[in-house]
Amino acid sequence: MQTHNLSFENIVGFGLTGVRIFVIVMMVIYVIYTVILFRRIKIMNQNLKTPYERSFIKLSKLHIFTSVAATAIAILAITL
Amino acid sequence: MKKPRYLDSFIKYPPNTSFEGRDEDERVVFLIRQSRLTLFWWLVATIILLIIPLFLMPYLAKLEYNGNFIFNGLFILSLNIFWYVTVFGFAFRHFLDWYFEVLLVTNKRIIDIDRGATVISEAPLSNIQDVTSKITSIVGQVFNIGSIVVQTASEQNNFEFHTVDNPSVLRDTISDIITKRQGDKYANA
Repeated sequence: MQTHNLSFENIVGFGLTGVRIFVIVMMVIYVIYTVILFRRIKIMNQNLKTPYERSFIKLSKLHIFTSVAATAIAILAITL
Repeated sequence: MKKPRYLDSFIKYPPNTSFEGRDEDERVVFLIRQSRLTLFWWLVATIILLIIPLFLMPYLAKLEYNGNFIFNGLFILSLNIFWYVTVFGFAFRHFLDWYFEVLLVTNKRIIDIDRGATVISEAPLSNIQDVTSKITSIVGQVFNIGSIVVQTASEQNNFEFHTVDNPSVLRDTISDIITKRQGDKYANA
């Protein structure tokens, strides 16, 4: 019975670690996406110049920053 | 003086608007975007996505195993931030796709900027042979939304711009510019 409980706990622990790693991987992929979006916005602004050019760049930088911050917090939460 | 509305789907002489390769004596006469009604579905999706964490996160925060919480507060916080950043990214990207997908009519040419300003095609006004407006769907008939097809002398280069407001008015306006331009050309010849 003791062995059974231990192995069940191991499975649960392994599953939780898997979930956490999955979340971190998704966050890292998303950070890469935000950088690609930033580059894309630069191309868009270059092809069509509008009054909101700077606002889009600022929003995109904020987007990158917050996604990096979320990833950093998640890594901290797992390692602490 | 009327304040310019940059987010309109049809703007005459849009201020501070230009494009790559504009000539010095060239001026943007019309800027045409898809109808703002096309934004409806992703706005609804965004609102739903914004509401989901209000129900999901408290549930995740309460999950426990053997008397211990499965996810600590910091991890839940990071999940919350990540969710809202993703929703923002989703909404932002859709907005940009709408904002940068335009049909520009200048005093010299017509420019179709497509797929988030990554596919661009243009034709001089003198090459344009025909402008057609179409309202096909029932939704289009209800909201007066349709397509504009600009046919050029080149067989491969037809401009199709879908889901625009008042397609008949737009067709007439574009035709007027083209007629005027081609009339000027023949007058000067």
